[in-house]
Amino acid sequence: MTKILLVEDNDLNRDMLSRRLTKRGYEVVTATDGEEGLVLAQAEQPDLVLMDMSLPGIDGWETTRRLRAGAGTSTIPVIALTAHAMAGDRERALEAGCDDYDTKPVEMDRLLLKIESLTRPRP
Amino acid sequence: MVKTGSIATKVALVVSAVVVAALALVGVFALRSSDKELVRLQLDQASRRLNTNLAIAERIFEERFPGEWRLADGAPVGFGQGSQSESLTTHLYKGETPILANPEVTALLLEVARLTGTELSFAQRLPDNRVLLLATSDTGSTSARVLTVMRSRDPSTGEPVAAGLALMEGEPVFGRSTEGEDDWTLYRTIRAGNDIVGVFYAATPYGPFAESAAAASRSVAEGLLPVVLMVAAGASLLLFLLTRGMLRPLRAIHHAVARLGEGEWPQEIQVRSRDEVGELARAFNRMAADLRQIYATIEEKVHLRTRELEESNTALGAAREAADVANQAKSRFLANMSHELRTPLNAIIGYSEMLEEEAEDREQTDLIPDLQKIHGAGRHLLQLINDILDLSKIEAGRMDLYLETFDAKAMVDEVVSTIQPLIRQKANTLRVTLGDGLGPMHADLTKLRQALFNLLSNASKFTEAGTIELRVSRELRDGMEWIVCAVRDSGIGMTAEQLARLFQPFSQADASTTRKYGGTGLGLTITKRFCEMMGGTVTVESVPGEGSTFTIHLPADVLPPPVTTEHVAGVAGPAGTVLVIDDDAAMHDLVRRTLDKEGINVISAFGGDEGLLLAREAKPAVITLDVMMPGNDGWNVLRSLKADPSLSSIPVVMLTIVDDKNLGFSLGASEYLTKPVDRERLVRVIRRLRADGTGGRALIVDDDPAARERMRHMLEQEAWEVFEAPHGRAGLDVMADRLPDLILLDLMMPEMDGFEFLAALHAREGGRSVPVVVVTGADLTPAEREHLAVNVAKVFDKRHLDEAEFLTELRRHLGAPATKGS
Repeated sequence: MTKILLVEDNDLNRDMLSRRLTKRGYEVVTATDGEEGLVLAQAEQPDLVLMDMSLPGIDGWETTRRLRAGAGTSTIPVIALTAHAMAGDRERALEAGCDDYDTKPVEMDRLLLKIESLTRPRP
Repeated sequence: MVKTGSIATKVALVVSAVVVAALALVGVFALRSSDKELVRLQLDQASRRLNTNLAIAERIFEERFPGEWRLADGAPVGFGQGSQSESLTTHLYKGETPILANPEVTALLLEVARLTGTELSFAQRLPDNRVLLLATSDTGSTSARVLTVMRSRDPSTGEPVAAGLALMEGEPVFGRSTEGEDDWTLYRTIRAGNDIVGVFYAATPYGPFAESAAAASRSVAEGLLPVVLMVAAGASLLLFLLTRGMLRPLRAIHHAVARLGEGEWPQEIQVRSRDEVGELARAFNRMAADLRQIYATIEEKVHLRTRELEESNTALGAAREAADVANQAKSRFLANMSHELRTPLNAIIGYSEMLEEEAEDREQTDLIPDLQKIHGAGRHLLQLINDILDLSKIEAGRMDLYLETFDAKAMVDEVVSTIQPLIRQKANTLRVTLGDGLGPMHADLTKLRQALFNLLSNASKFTEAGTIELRVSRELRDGMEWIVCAVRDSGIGMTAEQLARLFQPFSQADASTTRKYGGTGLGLTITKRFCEMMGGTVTVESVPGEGSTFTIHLPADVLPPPVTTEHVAGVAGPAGTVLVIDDDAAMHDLVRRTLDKEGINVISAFGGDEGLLLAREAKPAVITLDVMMPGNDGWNVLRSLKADPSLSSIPVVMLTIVDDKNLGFSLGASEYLTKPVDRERLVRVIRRLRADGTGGRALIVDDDPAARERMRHMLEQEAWEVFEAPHGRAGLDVMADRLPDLILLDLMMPEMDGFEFLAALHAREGGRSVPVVVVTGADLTPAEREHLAVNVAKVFDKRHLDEAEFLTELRRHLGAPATKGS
């Protein structure tokens, strides 16, 4: 089963997204901030990380950078989720090392496509 | 005011004498034609002088009679004497109609006349060429009639002029109006030293004297000359005796007036006499003092106003700053608000979707419509927030363009697939027609996508079970390539009135449409602004009941917002490594990943000092440099790099979020890229700077900045190092030290045109070996064509520039750079 790590500080969003993903057959691990996300990424070795970018403490961009720099986590694909659908956010996310980017509120079908395309060809 | 003073008596006598003499001599001394010329000159001067005096009078009158001087309807008014009547009341005239008879004005006029040192008359020429006259003499005596100012005519031009009599020094000139039979005119010159500064002249009505004049003429004709001459001599003697005593003080007054006329403050006139001349002098002194006071007041007022203006300017500056701050606060607020609003919306939309799915699973279908309404309302709210945010950013000028090159067809395909569900919702059909050779375009992909999406969703919104047509084509217009997207629907259409309001924010064609069709009413406004930001337009045609067509015209190659990037790149070091100096690890990663694909080796320094160290050690070919770094920041590093002779030749690319190109270039940066990084551009720039010497140096000489930018773009893609000049002379300056490997030359330019430039180039040693490609919009004569055929490599017509052919030509010269000096 594909394991997704969802890093999201907002309770409602975390709950909703994790339930919807679970319903689609994914195994979902959740973290409420960047620090926890980094620990869980290392421990759980998920197939993909869904990263909220505006997190308390170390933000999503920084967390992604650290994931990329960390041994054992540097190859895990990361999809940035941000409520700032601002011009430049996409570029910033990609610069930080994210593999893809989506805006909140998520469009489930679109997000699922992105998840699939990043998790399918695992060598 | 009307009194018989000693002057008046003298004047009366003098004038009588003069008139008699005049009448006597008129038959003998006809005015010669050279005199006429003189008289005309004198009249000109007199009229100037009268105007000066009138201006002074006007100033005084404006002070004393505010409101009466100008009429409410703005009609010109002047002062004039109403008639030849005995009682001299001055009338305020509008045209020929006296509108105000004012004894006080008369009194003042007389005073003004004295103050200005002209004893006689003023005139104001009205726009309709009538002359309004100011009478200034005493009346009530016999002489009054003679002195009364008459309407007269310039003897040479026949134009009406003011007439009067001056009691001034100088030889009298006698004359007679050549035009009318009604006036006799007496001229007198006014001299200042040797210069004639004016002339005053008096005219008598022909009437009372006509007979005697005729008689006098007849007597002359009949040989009574000796008698006449005796009378004249007597009169002249009398004149001389009477006037001598008066002339000295008058001369002093005249002198003072002349100085005043020249803008100097004359000294007080010292006159002791108690007669009217004395009074005149004293009055003049008073007037001079008054005028001085008025000027002082005016000057004070001017100072005050200037200070007020300065103060309000300062206040304005402060207000603008405050507004800027407020605007920034607004932008921040909107950005935050949008985030804060999206988070709960995210939950609303997500949970309603989830519940919808749940309801389906549990077959509780009665709940589904309501859940869909919640979902729909959430989506609508989200769209509204997005639109408001976009619009506020556009209006604050904070919407940036992210230009990239993409395939136009792929973009259209993507939009079409996204829009399909919306089209199907209204049972519409979408027909897409793509023109041949859409090719690549360079624009802000996201914004174009959004603009096109807006137009299509709009079309679908107002059409039911109809056809929506999308046509995309590449067109040539005004020598530029355009991508044209036309969206036609068979919907409800719009009236002309609705069309006029269409692009206004929050105004859908009809307020009720918002309720019926939904939408934020911002989509079209945003679409239009987006297209305009990219140098394009959105136009609309519509017929009510038949449908509408919205058309986007966008340059296929959108130019970045105008920023001057003219600079001279440094000479690159040995080919090879690129040094990245940036404290952000992600940036290193990005640049490395980007350049790796190009086979370019990248080394990293995470701070300014480390960067300088590595630069000295590794001698990279190119350095990319961030500005905001802890410790030694980018500006300092750039200064140090450029100050070190062993490093100063390494081209530095600023790669930063700080948008201060001027500072960057002035410190010696070769190129300035702002984050987020346009990867393609980065590659291009690095490739060009690394490849210096192999890529070749191209000089663009063209006065059209847009054309230069376009050609620079194409050249840079081909790894040329580009220099620019706006005309031939600047072009010669640019290549003063070193000839370029290729010159792109426009022909029609200011300062020095293309032909002259070509001649100058060829006159230089080695100049003939530099290939020149002419890119011109001018129609060439056969002779010019022939000349160019011999002297340049190729001529392109700017208006129909075949890009492929142009690039081939560039490559041809790139592959085989000219051998210098051959």
